Amino acid sequence: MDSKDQALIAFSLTGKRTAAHVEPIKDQGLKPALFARYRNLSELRYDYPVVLLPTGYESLSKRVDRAIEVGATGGDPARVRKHAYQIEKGVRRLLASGQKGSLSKLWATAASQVKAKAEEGFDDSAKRVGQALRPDGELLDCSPDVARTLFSHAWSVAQDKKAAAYRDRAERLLLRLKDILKADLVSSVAGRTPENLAQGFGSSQTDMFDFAAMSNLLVRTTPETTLSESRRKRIEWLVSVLEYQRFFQSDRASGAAPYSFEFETCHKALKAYQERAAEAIELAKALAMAELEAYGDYRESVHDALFAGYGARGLDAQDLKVFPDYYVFERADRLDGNETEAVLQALASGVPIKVIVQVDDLWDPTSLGDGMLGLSSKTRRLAHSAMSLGDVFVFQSPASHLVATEPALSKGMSSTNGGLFLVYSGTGGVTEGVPPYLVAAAAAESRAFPVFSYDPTEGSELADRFDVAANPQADSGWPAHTVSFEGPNMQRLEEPGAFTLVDFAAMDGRLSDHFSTVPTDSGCLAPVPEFLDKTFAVVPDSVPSIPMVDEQNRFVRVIADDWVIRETKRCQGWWRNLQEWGGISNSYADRAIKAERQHWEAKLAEAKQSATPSASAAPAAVVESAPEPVAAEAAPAAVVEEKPSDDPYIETERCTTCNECTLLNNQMFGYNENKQAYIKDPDAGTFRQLVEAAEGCQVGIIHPGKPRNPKEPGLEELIERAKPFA
Amino acid sequence: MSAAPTECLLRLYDEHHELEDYQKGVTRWCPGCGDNAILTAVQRLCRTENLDPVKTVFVSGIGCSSRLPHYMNTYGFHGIHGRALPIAEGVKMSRPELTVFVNMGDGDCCSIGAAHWVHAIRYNMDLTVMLHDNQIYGLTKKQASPTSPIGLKSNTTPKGAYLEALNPLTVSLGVTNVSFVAQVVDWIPEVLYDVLHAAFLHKGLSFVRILQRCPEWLPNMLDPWVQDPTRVKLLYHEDGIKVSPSVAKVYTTTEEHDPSNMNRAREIASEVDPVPVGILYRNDDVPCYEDLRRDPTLRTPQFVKGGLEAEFDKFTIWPEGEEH
Repeated sequence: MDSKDQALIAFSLTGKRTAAHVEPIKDQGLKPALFARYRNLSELRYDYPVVLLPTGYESLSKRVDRAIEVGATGGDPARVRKHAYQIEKGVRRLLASGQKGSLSKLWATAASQVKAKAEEGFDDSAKRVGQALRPDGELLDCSPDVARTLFSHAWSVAQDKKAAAYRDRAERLLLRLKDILKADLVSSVAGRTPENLAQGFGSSQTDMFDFAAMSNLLVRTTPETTLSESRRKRIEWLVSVLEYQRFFQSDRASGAAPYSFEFETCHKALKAYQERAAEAIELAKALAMAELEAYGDYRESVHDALFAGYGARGLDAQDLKVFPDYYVFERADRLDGNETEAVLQALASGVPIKVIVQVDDLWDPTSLGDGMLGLSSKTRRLAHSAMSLGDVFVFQSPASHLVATEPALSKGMSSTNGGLFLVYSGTGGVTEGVPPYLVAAAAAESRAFPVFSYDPTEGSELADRFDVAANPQADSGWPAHTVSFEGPNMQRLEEPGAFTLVDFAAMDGRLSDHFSTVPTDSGCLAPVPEFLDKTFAVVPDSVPSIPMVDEQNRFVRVIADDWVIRETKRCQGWWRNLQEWGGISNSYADRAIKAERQHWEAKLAEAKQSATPSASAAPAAVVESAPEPVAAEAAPAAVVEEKPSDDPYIETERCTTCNECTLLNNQMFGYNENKQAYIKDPDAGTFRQLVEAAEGCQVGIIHPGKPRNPKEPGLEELIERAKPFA
Repeated sequence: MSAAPTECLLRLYDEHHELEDYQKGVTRWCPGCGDNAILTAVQRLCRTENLDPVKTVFVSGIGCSSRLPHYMNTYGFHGIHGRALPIAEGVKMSRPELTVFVNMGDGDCCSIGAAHWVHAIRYNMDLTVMLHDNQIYGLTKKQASPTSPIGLKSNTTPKGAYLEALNPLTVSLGVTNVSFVAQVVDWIPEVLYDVLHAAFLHKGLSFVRILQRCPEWLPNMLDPWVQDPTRVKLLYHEDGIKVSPSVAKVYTTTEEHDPSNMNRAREIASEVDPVPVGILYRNDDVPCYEDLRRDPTLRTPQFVKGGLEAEFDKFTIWPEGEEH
């Protein structure tokens, strides 16, 4: 090993620079080589900016693409697309210059600015696509506050849906309940007074009627059945609770403002939840009772006792899903022990709460207290604890991925379960010149802040609940990338590599002491993934290196010290856990498959060894006979013929309930539970009646049998008449 | 627990109803009248489905058969001649949660109510419609109805009916959107019940023609079919009705008929002897009018008043200078 390489390895092991060719990277403005193509985001089409919509949010690019599809149906699609993209770029530039506003406003502004340089048909393109961009919404770039706004918006959308559902339900119930009260009043004596009758008539020509006489007449015909006092009181109470609740905005509010559900801390949210619990139970009870009452299903004998204890042990998820969710936005750096405990307590106690924790900095001071930083484990611990509760929705994503993960985020916000949402803003480190979007995206790319969701409503197994698919190249340890750069002889060179935590750490100015630039032709450099896989007996023969670019986009080799590698290994371990939970290269499954394969191979080998030609090895005889045809269930089945009986009988199943026989003798003939005739008591009448009934039966199903009383007069003739009904 | 608490409470204390819970009064039909068999079958159906009497409505027109709602301990509407269907449709439109049955006679449905009948089939609202077809006006003492056979002597056709009888089955099967057509006879109670049950379970308008005897005015007219079981053809299919051994013992003339086969259904509908009994046609995919037209807007007093005012305003003559 030459002395140049020795200096590199020494830096790698100790972080000390012992030679001039191992230079500090501080103040060189280096960035990961992968970022070389993304210096000016406003010129690129990517997830941001986003449009806030009444139903959620969507990236501007996606919205414009869809609008182009619609707008292009009017003809000349190539021209429409070209102009629309020009305007879209203008919108991005406006946002980047600090302008704010709705999509329609910025679209119009951008169109007016591009117009001067535009071609024929530009106005038409702008108008057609602009109209197809509706509904309108506020535009939002990936600013430091973007996560706060997006989460708040997604929560508001979910709460608006709940409020609309409540209003629909309450209005429907109130209409029915009030109709019951109104109908009762109208048909009561009180409702038929001359004054009430006059009021019901209207305002004109009332002098043509004598309402006193009308009242006198109508009062006499008042129905006997009116609402019981207890039912009237119950309905009035239900109306009162539904109208004057404070959980949703209402036109009929008693003057008290509706409750707010946004809180700064979980402590405050929990306190409010506890204070409102009695009212929430009352409203949930009223809704359940009103559903029964409005449709005439409330029975005092049964339901009074049940509703007396309603909510005594708290409300269940079905009840709680009606109510608005509590919303808390926290910043990770302000989460002390007490507040962390409050977060977990709120999530564990079944409170319908959505807690958003924004992380601005992924590097925390270590416990050594010497100014050293380490990859933060605060959110990891929080996510672990929340997932261990079992029924809490847990979501993590950097701000850069909030557009791609919108479906999961919205689902979590609409979930009836509690929810913990962790988001990394990309604004907390010292990453001069790199926009927060790229820092946040790099956190996901490097596995420093992976994307995942844990949805307890997705099934009973972890494989169904846990999802890491939204990560870049989720199947891999590190996302693979190829960096292209210019070689010493101006030739194009390509270098495959991966984006790891080393790249992410190298972006942060506070960690620059852990990195050094080295000559690009150094001999002992190894890509980080390769270095991590190596084991060294004593002295390493290589150092981990990453490609970076300087402010002029020149290619630079950077090596990292041992501290960075240790942090990277920790990060790798955490990511490996997440992969396994998400069902990627699950070690338990791999072991089971391996064991099964070994078992199967052993059996196969055993069978081969013991295999000798014999009758048992011959192929099984083919069953030639077809299975017996199964009679169609619907087809009529054969019936064994019954012998005639000496006792009278009726083919009851064929009785048409015509009343002929029962009118003849209702002691002898009766109806069964299906109102079909049978011989109730053969001795309750005469043989003559049996014969007459048989003769009168239009479907001929009465069989008189033999006479039971040999002394009955006229038996000979009756027996003859009975013969056709034997 | 996946159901809502209210739903759980309802199911937990679901009332079970006996046949007697659906019975009311003593029928005033003649002994031997087929209406009795229909009434019993309907009461059994209500018991089987445990229909809540206060959420069940029987609507009828005018005639012997239209007295049926009087004998059901449910809600009922004894309407006017030929107008049972519009009333039933109105009930269903405004109270879709109610179970609505319609009982009409052959004069009621096929004569004065014929227009409503055709359009009701086209609207396909979720109603179980029973046509009590005794082929005569019985309540008014024997006048020929549209389904009276040619040659039938009655008070209005003393020389015999001049026209071939109208066939309610072929008419129904010719109407757009028809979704369920069946025929039964009152003297096979088990099949009558099975078909009515299938009709009830069908979502849409199920039209069941019930051939019934009138012992008072046409006492012997259906005797050839009543007394000779081979002149009744049972239609069976695994998607239709299934025939029990006891019925199969008596009625041996059968045909396996797929109710989704419209062409064959129309052929069967034209058969008179043997008389086909069973489900001729069923199509579960025909949309119901009440679903197509369901308006989520609540009919609050303000909403109704606003609509009325808007309509009245169209015809109001405003005093000069007054704004409107």
